[in-house]
Amino acid sequence: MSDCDSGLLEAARHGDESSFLALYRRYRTPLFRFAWRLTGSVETAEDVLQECFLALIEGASFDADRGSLRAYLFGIARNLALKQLRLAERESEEVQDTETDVGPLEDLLSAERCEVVARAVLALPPFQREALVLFEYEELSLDEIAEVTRIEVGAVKARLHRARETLRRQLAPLIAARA
Amino acid sequence: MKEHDPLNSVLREWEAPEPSSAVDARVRAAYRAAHRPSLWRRIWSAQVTIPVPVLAAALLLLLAPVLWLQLRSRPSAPQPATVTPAGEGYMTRIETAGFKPLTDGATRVIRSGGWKQ
Repeated sequence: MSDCDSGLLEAARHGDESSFLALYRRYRTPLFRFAWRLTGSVETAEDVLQECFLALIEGASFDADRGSLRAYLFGIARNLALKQLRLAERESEEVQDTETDVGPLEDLLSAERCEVVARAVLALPPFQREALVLFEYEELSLDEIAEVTRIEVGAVKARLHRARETLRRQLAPLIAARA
Repeated sequence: MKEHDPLNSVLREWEAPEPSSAVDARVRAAYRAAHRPSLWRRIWSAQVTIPVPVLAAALLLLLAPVLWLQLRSRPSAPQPATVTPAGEGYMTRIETAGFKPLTDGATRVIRSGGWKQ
């Protein structure tokens, strides 16, 4: 798939729109889902998706010998999403005094399961969250996650482990109900 | 890490939406804007539609001065050939009217002083 991606990217960079669209269709949904699960916002995730493909076409830093296009694209999406997250956190700190702080597990039993899981994942620290989303939802390998996040595989494993342990505690009632 | 862990099935409860078609259009437009052909290529491949009467009038306007110049420079009557001595004692142009070729083909040089009409 990597060779195929490289060919499509080369053609897209030379103005072949059909090649660009083929690449876009292949990666639009996974990248959007990833950005959405990191930021929790459809609007932000769509902006990330757009920026991601523009960076791919305009930038020339992708090297097929150094990794897959999939990992490269997830890397761009990750940087953009984390940037948006930092901005959002700064804004939320500014308005925190006026808001009532609602704990993520306060309404665990009454809330919808989907929302509970979403809250639990979104409450994870960003680096644990991205590792978990990439591994559990986008099914990237540990090597690919290491490439995307530019850390060692061992560090990826550690982040995943911590994320899963946190979720296991926070989602314990749901897990118990399933068991 | 993933096998038989009830946490995995709980995590699957969180489903993601699909990106909207608006973002597809935005991405496509952004790609087209980034890959506009060069000015030279656009000029080279540009097409112009002209109505036939306008084209005919334009051609007429272009050709009229050319035709006018051609008609103006055309001589009114043929002028007789002239004999012009180029230097002392030599003729470069001669009157050829009534010229008869020599039968023997021998060359004769006639001095200009000896030529009389």
